[in-house]
Amino acid sequence: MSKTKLGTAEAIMIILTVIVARSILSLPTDLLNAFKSSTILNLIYVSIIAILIVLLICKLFKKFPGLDIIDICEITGGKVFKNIIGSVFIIYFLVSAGLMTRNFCESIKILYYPMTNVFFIIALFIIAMCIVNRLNFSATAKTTLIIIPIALISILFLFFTNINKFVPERIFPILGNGFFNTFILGTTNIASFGGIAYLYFLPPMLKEPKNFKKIAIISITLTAIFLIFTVAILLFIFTFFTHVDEISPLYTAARYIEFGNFFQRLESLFLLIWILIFACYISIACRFSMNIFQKLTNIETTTPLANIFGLLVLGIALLPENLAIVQDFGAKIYPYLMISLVLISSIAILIFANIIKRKKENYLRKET
Amino acid sequence: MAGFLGIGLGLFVYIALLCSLDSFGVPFTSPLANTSKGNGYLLPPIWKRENRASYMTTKREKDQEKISMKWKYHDKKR
Repeated sequence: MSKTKLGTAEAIMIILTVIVARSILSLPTDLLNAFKSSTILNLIYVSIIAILIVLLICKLFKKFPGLDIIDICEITGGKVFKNIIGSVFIIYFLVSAGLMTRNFCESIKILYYPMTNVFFIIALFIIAMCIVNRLNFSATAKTTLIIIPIALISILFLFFTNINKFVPERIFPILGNGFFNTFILGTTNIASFGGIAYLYFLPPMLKEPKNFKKIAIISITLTAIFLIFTVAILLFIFTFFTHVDEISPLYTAARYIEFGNFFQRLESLFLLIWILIFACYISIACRFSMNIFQKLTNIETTTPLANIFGLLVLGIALLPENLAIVQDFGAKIYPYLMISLVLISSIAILIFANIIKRKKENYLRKET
Repeated sequence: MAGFLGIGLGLFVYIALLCSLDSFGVPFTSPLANTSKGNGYLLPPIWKRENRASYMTTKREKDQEKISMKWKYHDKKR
């Protein structure tokens, strides 16, 4: 059996990892602060757009079965273009993984280790990531397949155990800050679907490439449902959310659970699940970067790269001076970076590649 | 030494190591972390399990014919 190829369920879970990891951090709070009571409506609207974009991506990939965006770049613009796009994606994956690690570790520091230097907390994550990335890709994917369903169940559990504290009237006014804010400015909210970036690299990794469309649609739909549940928990429980954004907002919601006298401090269990998810996320981000690097440099194996890429993530995580800078990046720079690179540039490359291929086919047909 | 975080990360590494192992080509965590046609968390009824578990890498992939309960369809025709 192949040690590098992914099954359908594994691929879906890999894409879901990104959003699950982001929703633990400040993403739901950022959304709630921007759209207030219309967040759910905005998410439904943005999810429909995301599904349409994913359908477009699937259609564009149809002419290139078993190829990822790096191979397509080589077809379109040669080796130089391939190297540029590959490097940009490596930087994107590493920077987002590094800064999210810093954000999460700062939250853990506030909660459990107020006296410890954040370097040691990040270093623990990096060591775990390096060990896992030295194993085969299949091991990382299977670990994700075990852990992510637990995370999805934990969110459902959080939703239903807090349901007695919900105030459904908080969804009103249904348009929040107004129509323009929800549906026009709110389009930038598509950056929440960060998993789309990983879709571009999936086709050559799949055991059954014909399932690519199915994987893409199921993963984006599950992402949307997960986000809606996460935001609904926070929107229905809390009145004014800006005060609780120093630590993970879902952790605050988990503290509200009352589940009999036997289960005290159930939030620790949630934190354990979130630590596992986060370790999964940085392993996957690093693994994808390593795979891109392997494609760019034609090296035989990625195993020796695990430590180097781990150190790079550590370095990036230590770059910002404080948590405020990291949160600012997540709220202000990351969405535009994601939209410009993952949505606009990559789709433009795919469209361009399709045009070139069609021209070549027409030319060959005319010659024959 | 690392407390709660150490337990979490240790568990993560342990799960990953388990997932990387296999015995005679069959992964240790097979039914749990190697979902394939009808061999995942949920199992279909016996008459619908047409494929053998893919992680077993058997020579014959099919376990039974597509329509195993032929009498059901024959009866309908009558």
